[in-house]
Order: sequence, then structure tokens, then C-alpha cells
Amino acid sequence: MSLEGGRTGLPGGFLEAPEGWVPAEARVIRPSLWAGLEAIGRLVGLLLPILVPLAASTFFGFDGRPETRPFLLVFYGRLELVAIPLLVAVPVARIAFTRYVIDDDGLRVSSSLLQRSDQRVPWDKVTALRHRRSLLGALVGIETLEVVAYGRKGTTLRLVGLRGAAELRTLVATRMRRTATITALVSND
Amino acid sequence: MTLEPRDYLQPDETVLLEAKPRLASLAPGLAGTALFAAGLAAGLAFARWRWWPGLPAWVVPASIVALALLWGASAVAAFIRVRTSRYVITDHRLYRSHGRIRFLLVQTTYDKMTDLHVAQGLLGRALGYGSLTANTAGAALALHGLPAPFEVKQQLEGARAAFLRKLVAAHRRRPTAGAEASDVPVPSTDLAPANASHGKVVWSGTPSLQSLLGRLLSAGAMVLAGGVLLALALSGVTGTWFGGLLLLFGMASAASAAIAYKTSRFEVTAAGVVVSTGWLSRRRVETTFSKVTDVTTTQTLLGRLLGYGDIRVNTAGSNDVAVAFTGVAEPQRVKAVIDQTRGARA
Repeated sequence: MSLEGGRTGLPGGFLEAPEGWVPAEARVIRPSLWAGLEAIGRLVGLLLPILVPLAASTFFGFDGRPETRPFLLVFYGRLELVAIPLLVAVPVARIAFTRYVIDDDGLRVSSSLLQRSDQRVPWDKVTALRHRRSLLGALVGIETLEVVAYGRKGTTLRLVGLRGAAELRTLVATRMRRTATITALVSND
Repeated sequence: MTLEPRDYLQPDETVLLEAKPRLASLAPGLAGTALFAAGLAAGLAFARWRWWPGLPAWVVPASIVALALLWGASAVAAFIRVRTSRYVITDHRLYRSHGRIRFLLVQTTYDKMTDLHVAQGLLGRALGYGSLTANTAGAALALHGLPAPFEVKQQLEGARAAFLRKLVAAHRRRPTAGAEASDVPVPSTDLAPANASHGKVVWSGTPSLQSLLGRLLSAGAMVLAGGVLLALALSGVTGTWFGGLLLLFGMASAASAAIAYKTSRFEVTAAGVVVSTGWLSRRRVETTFSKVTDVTTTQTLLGRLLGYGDIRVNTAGSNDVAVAFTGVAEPQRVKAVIDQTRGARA
């Protein structure tokens, strides 16, 4: 995790760093690019109930004749030469253009791949904290923190691709405890 | 590496209770999935006998073996999950964790808990386990297979009460004291009277001209495409009248963009944010900073090129309507104004 302060990147426009301007005491975290592969793994896991039967039908049903060729995107023409690289590149690029900013007021997730987005949650609005590690994460040493804020739907900031997430978890937990006051409790009620 | 309480407890915490789920709590789930798998296999065998006699003979036994293996794998995963689960109640927080290599840890402080819910099924009542769910204002922490759930609920309620007493005592010790220090402060109500001012206006604005151009560009593309398709349909080249719909939709989109540009107004005040929109029917949405949970800014590719974006202010209410500044110029700067005003108020 990198430690930076003050203005970062070139000012303005497409070349500005994803986190934009940050105060001097803020901490900027760059997620590991392995988180992009984690996202691909999750997508593949979701599609497995469809992919496995299709693969089985391909294996058992295809006898070399064009009319028995299954209508499956991966086997149709040469589309797989474009689809598979895109499937890998987009999640990884998205992670490369994402930053997490921790400062005295709260937590912010900024992303600037094509569409720019910035989501900020103050410490006193954090209601729960989840710390996850997947199988792939255990292999490559990355973990995920999910910071849940107030709201019926529970706004959740997902911080993926973290190395040494336990330290950040302790920081967030300490901030949650520090902002637990009667005044905050009544005003958030 | 099993995730144990010593790995995640804070130094200033004291453990009041540590529990593990009962293995017996797996029984209903495993029985249910076994019945489902058996039903699938039986259905396949019946289908082969009744409708698909041409299906190869090995398909049914192979499917049964595959389903059995899947069920076995899920049973092993559930067993490992239960064996590695830990529920911990401390004097500050409630924790739930499970897993070794792949793990999940969920935690919350007691001031964020809104209510507790205990459920015990028939088997749970016979074997002494149940589910305890601690709801917060954004998530729920569910402890399944918990032994003696009602006793644990009482302990949790006691820990929460003690924690809140600590908060009250800490508040009374604050050096801002006077006579008020002995009372729990009642914050000023956020339900301002209908005609009262929302406070001094710190920033006001409208959707930017660039956002109007951006939306008109998109609408223009739809009108053009719809016009071409309609012309082709009228000249008999194609049989579809979809072009007409696209043309109408594009024109409506352009009109809506123009109306929003002329009639929307956004304000950041000392107390909160205000959005006024609408032409024939006016709509005004206000929220105070104390209810704001998070602020999100979004800029599409066109928005980044033309310098506009949306700012969405989410609140803790149950209403799905968020307060949104759509199409504002320099959204990062406006967001900084919101953050600064909130910070000054705090």
C-alpha cells in the first residue's frame, strides 16, 4: 500500500489521478491487480451452472458436422479471440484505475476508467465491517474489506485487492469505536 | 490458518462469550438438498422411461453419481464452515467468523445495532440451538446454529446496555459541561417546519449547458436513427415501424432534457442540500447533513469530455429517492463544497 499526500497526478481532465485531490494527511491505497482476476473468477462461478451443461452437450453432442455445432458464444466464429481478452482486460483495468482514500473524516472509493465515480462514507455512518478472503485471494495474498454504511439498502464500499487488510480493518474498527457517541447515536436514529 | 478471536479482537476488548454452532444445525439443510438431488435423479429416470427412450442408458446412472458427488461436496463444505465458525461477544462488539483458507469475518459495534431477533425451529427446540440475528441500520449479522440462543440474546442485550452506559458516562465527562452535561443532549430536530428556511445558501446551481448538450447529442442520435428507420419503412424497404417509436422516444428525451435544464435548481445550505425540479408539477427534495450517509459523484465518458457529472446524496431513510444534482458542472468542486459544509457543521 502506498502512502501519498497532497495533490496527485496531473491536474484536471483524463490524466488526473483517480483519487483527485487528497489532503496531506490522507492515505491513498492502490488495490492489487489480482483483484481483477478475482472478479473474473466470481463471474465464471456465477456462469458455471450454464457453462457446465453447455460444455457437456458440446462434448457429447458434437460429431464434427456443422449442424451439430452448439450455438455457444465461445465456439461461434472467432468471437472468442475478442471476447476472452476483453473479459480479462476490463476487470483488471478497472482495478488499475481505482483508489481508496482514508482520511480523518471518512473513507472514499474513487474510480476513473472511462466513467469516473467517487463514493465517500464518513466514519460515523459506518455500521458494519466485513473482511473476506477467497481461495484465489489466499493464493496471491489479497483480501477484501466491505464497509457497510447506514441506509435501508446499506451502502457498501467494497475495497478489493488489499494486501495486509488486517491493518486497515483495525483502523476502520478503531474509527467506528471512536465515533460511537451518544450524540451520533441520537442524530443517526 | 484458522481465523481465531485473537487474530481480530482489539487490544481494549474483553471477551464475554465465545460460541460455536451446533453440528446438528446442518441436518435440515443437508436433508433438503439430498431430497432435491434425489428428486432430480428420479425425474430424469422417469423422463427417460416416459419421453426419451432414445437417451443412452448410461446417462441416468452417470447423473445420479454426479448429483451424489455434488451433494457430498456441498455437505463437506457446510461441515467445514460449521466447524470453523466462531461467534464472539465482547464488551464493545459482536463478531461472526468462519473459514480457514477462505474466510469471512463480520463485526459491528453495539451502538449500531437496532434490534435482535431469535428463531428456533422444531429440531432446534429439541436439540437446543437456534438463530440469532442482530440487525443494524445497513446490514444484518446472523448467528446460525447457536446453542441456547435466548440466553445468548440476553447476554448480548446486557453487553449492549453496558456499552451504551459507557457512552453516556463518556458524554457526561466531556469538558463542555455545565448544567447540560448531566443530561443526554437532544439534538435540534431535523424536521424543520414547512416554511422555515433551510439556512444560509452556501452554493446554488443548475444543470450545466454541457450536460444539456450531452443529453441532446444522445437524443439527437436516437432521432436520427429513428428517422432513417422510419423513412425506410415508409418507402417499403423494411417492414418494421420501430423507427417511429425510436424517433418519438428521442424527441421526448430531448424535450425532457431541455425542461430539466430550465427548471432544475440545486442548493447546498448550511443545514443540508435541496433539489427543486419539475415544470408542470414542482418537486422539492431536502435533506439535512445529519441524515446523509454517503455522497457519490459519477461522470460518464461524455461527462468527463464536456466537464459535467452527477452528485448523488444518499440518506439513511427508507425512501428510495436519493437527492441528486444531475448534470452539474465541475462536480468534484461541488462535492468539495458539500464535504466542507458538512465538516464545518460537525
